[in-house]
Amino acid sequence: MTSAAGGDRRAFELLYQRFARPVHGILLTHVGVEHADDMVQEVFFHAWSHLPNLREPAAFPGWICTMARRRAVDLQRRLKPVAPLPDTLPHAAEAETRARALEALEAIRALPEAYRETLALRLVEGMSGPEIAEATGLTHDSVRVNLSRGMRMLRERLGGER
Amino acid sequence: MSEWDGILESELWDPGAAVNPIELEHRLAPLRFDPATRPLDLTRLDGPAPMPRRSSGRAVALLVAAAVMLLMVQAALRWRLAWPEGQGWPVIAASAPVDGNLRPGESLQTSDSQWALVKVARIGSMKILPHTEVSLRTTGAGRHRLALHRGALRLRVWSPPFSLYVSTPAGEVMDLGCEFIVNTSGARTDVEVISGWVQLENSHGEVLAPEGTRTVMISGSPPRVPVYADASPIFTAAVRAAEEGDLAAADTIIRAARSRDTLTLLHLALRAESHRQPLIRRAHMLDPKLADDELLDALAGDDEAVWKWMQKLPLPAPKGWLRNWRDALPLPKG
Repeated sequence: MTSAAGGDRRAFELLYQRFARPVHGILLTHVGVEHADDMVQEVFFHAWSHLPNLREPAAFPGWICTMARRRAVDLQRRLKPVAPLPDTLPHAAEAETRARALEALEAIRALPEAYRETLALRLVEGMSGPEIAEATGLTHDSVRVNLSRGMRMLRERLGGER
Repeated sequence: MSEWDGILESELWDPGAAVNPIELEHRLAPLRFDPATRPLDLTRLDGPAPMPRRSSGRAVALLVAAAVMLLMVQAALRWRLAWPEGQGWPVIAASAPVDGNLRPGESLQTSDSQWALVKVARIGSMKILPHTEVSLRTTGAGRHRLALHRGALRLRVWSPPFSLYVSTPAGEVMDLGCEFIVNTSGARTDVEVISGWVQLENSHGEVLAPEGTRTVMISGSPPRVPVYADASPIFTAAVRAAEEGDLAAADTIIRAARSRDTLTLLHLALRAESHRQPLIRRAHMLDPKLADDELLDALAGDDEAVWKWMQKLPLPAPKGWLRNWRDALPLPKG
């Protein structure tokens, strides 16, 4: 982080590779997938220009996640609701898989804020509990609680399908 | 199975439930972000690199430098104010040869055409003007006392208040960190304050005179009120006449007073009870910022209200000697 703050682009790229997934997971809880995919890099470009303002290198994970959250909320305010997928698409099987993924994602996004990010990072980005704790700044216990309760609620929402 | 996996497997996963975490992970996998397939566009980082963050070490260095500087200033100030008891003041210039030092208990006289420039310990300098006799009574750290028998001194002193006393037949003149001229002739002492403040005191009273004013002290009566040197001669003469008991002069004082003369009017109001009301009313016309209740108190005879009013006038702080840094410079020779 220190090297990146000094202008080392290669070091910054390593930060990107390490923290792009949590940033994406957080963005996903606020905006559509297409927007989230594009915004990941935008968040990092914004972080690049403000990196010298970060006094403590160890605070980078929480700092960039906060940045992602803010930019997502800003975009959310400016966007109209995402239109639903059309009924017919080429490659129907692939479309069906994606539709089910989006449906699950929508269920996660409908959860209370405290749970949705944690679940998105776990279930979408495949991050481990300790990785989630590092990225969000939550304690390990808080992550456990959020996962447990969030998953219970998610199961209730999705439990009717088969 | 890790502890974390156990949460999902045992606590959250009901094998009979329609949905389980493992299945959800698979379901959501298409949405997962892969940095390897979407590398960061480094060309977007073109442009000047972010300004390097100042290390906290630099801030510490600045603080240390500031602390060192403060200590040096304090040490310089302590040195300036220190003076060995009884050590004479050197004569640094003169229009004609004089003794090298003005020592305690000794006096220095100048002829009708002679002047001498003397260092006042380390706190200032004194120009002894022609036809003057002055003695150094005592000198030591923080307290120096002169006696002006006749003639005039121009003193420039940069030190805390009451470091220097000048005794005259009419009373004492005390510096509050300033430059002033004191002129003694018989039972009369005239003081002109060039910068800072001066206090005049004798057994009949005292007065504080700010820069720009002149005042007079005469044996057997209180020091006169300060009058600005640029006040009209008519005003000045009327003030001095009123102080001698000429009550008719009050009308002239009121007519001729300017806004800057408010200080003089208030001093007079404290001394001339019979003319207090018109003097205060005139002062209020010239300086209308006073609140109504404060004005009523002043009119009713509350001296404290008048003193408070004076403190609100746009004058330098009486103990603000530190700000008068120019008084630290020596008087010019010649």
